[in-house]
Amino acid sequence: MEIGDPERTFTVEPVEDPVPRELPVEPAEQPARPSPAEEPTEPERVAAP
Amino acid sequence: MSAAPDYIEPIVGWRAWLVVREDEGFRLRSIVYDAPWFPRHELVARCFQWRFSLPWSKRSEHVPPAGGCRCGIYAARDPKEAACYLDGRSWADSLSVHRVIGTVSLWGLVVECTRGWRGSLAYPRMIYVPATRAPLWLKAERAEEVALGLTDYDVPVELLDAGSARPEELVAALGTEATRG
Repeated sequence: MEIGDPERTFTVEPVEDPVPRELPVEPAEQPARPSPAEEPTEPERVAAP
Repeated sequence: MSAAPDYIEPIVGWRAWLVVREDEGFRLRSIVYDAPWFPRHELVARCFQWRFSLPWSKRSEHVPPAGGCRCGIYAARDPKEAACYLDGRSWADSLSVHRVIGTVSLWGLVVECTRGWRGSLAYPRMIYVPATRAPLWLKAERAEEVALGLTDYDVPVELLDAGSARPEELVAALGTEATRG
């Protein structure tokens, strides 16, 4: 394409990205799991007095 | 620390593209050099002048675009300059199914010229698909199908019905589109 002679050089850093980029896919929501400290544990059997 | 940029808005100019049918769908390619434009990714300029020059006229390797070279991604101020490329032969006539015109954003390093710009980074901003094609490129694909396929670029795509494939009539139709918008 004929665009003529160079006149000046400059830098452009757009504030808004000119490329409509693919949004990162969010991971499917997992059901909340209790932390190990909160997990129910079997009651400990103790010998009857 | 990098220096502050001179501008914070991309430069917007006009250019034309080939449309090629690939496995993924319709894709844009540069008309003069073999440069594919991928959806959702900017095109990064490379200097072919340096690579293809004869040894005695070889320019030193440089970051494109350089003021003293002709490299960079081109855009014209006037759509007439770009519309000239809707006509004529290209390296990829056998591959292309259509030619389109539109605006392009340029950023990064930009060389301003008397009638346009050469940039280091580019992405289409608006694509106009001529509804009528010159006989040379007539293939099975309909312009509507091409327009729909180019929406992969996620920029506005419009069918340009000028009633003709002649560049000057397409430019006149572009003016009508602009006033309508």
